[in-house]
Amino acid sequence: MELLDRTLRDQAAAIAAGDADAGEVLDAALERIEERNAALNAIVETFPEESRRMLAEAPRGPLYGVPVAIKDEWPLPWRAERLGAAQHVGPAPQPGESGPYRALRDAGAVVVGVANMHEYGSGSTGHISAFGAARNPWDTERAPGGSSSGPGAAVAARMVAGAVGADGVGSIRYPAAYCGLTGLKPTFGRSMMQGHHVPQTTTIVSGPLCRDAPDCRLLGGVLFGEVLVGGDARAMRIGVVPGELWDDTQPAVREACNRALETLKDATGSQVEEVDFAGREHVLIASVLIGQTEDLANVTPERIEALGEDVSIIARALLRYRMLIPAVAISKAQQVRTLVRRSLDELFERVDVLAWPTVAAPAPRLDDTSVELPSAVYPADYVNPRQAGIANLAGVPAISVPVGLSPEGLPVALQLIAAWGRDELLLDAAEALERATEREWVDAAPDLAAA
Amino acid sequence: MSGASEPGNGQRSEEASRRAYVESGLDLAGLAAEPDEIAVIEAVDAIYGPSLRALMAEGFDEIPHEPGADMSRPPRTAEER
Repeated sequence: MELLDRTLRDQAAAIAAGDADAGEVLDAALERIEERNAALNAIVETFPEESRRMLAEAPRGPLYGVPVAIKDEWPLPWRAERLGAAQHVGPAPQPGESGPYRALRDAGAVVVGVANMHEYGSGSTGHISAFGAARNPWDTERAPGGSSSGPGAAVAARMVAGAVGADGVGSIRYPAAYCGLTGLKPTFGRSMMQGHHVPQTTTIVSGPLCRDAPDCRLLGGVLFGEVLVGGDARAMRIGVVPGELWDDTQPAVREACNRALETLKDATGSQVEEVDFAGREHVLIASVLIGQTEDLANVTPERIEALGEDVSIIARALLRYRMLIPAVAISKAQQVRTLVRRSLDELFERVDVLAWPTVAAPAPRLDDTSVELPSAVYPADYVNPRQAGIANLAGVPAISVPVGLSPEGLPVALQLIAAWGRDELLLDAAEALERATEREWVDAAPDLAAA
Repeated sequence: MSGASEPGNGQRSEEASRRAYVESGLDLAGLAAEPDEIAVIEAVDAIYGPSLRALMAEGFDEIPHEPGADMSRPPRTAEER
């Protein structure tokens, strides 16, 4: 097995032990991106000289010499973020040392490429980008998930073993789910966010997309600026919420997630109980309203009208639509937020984690991003926040873990959610599930990654 | 069928209401839009509109406010701060 096919921690250990040369690993990563990216459009830019300079100056940190990718949402000293868009709305962003960049640099990692993203972060599929759609390595006619589409595709294709994304309404967890990866949405405020283009956000967090939970622990710790100590996920109280979160999903999703939940329960001596929380019926719209209006401060009619046809019609229409949303709706969304936070706070006195499918259906096709559920056919962008938005709405951590493949061979994922500050418990639980399933799903790779 | 939702009967169809909302809203905001952009906006509102309007219909009288909410922590009321 080539080193690039091994985990982030294995790569770090091999380089630290002198068993691998960091310069050669970097060259190999650039070569692999060159080989595999045409089919996936996961990486929108590489900068070999900058990467080599990073390596030359890299301190001997926990990720010394390890190549990683970073979402096009984060500025770098040599490149301003593009947000997957042809034009910016508002002041043009500038290059700079974003928090995630600094964290990676200080850990000794090497940023080997900027990863594609859904235009303006406004989608859960990744099928729209000024750089062209990113593609799912499991089926290149399908969406890799968004808005951290490139990070998902790059890690699943083994171009890199880890990538830094951002999650405002599920944008790390959707690509993790669609691409068969582990993706952690941290507790709000726990991971580095400096330099983000929405500094006033109350929903967006930086976070890791990796193959498995130990790698997410390693990269997540770098982004948190602290070591995330491993613990014991034994005897957890696991809450499941009956209703649409489980029932309005495709059968393959529901079955795989149920199996995983049973496995996790048995492996950890945990208990599962049915629970519920207040405000559930409004989580979807409230999370979208808050998450998708926080960045409107710099938007004006003139700036919207200045957008040309190289910005997607969807983006031009959505920006206009957002200008029409009544203020009362935003105020009501904040009330839902308060209601959900209070309800979850009480609920987490009774349970340690909540569990339900990350997404209701596997990755949709790029040419038709709708998903067919028992209740109806929906755009994936509409229904996905029903599953994932609560974590951003409330500020709590959530993790998506791969738990199977659909009959079409597409990844299926389970989401675990915990109380504020209990990110480590989610990692512990995910690791317990990996051990109990003998790493079947975290080690599964698309054919393209074995090429 | 009463035809109460048919144009000309004092109550516009949902589609006509949506069109009026979008066009007048854009006009008031000083925003021009191409026909295809308006079509997309209407399609988006058709999807999100019901949830949006259901939310706006809620009173939420019983929910205490969370002033200065800190998303990194559990909620606290003004008295608890």
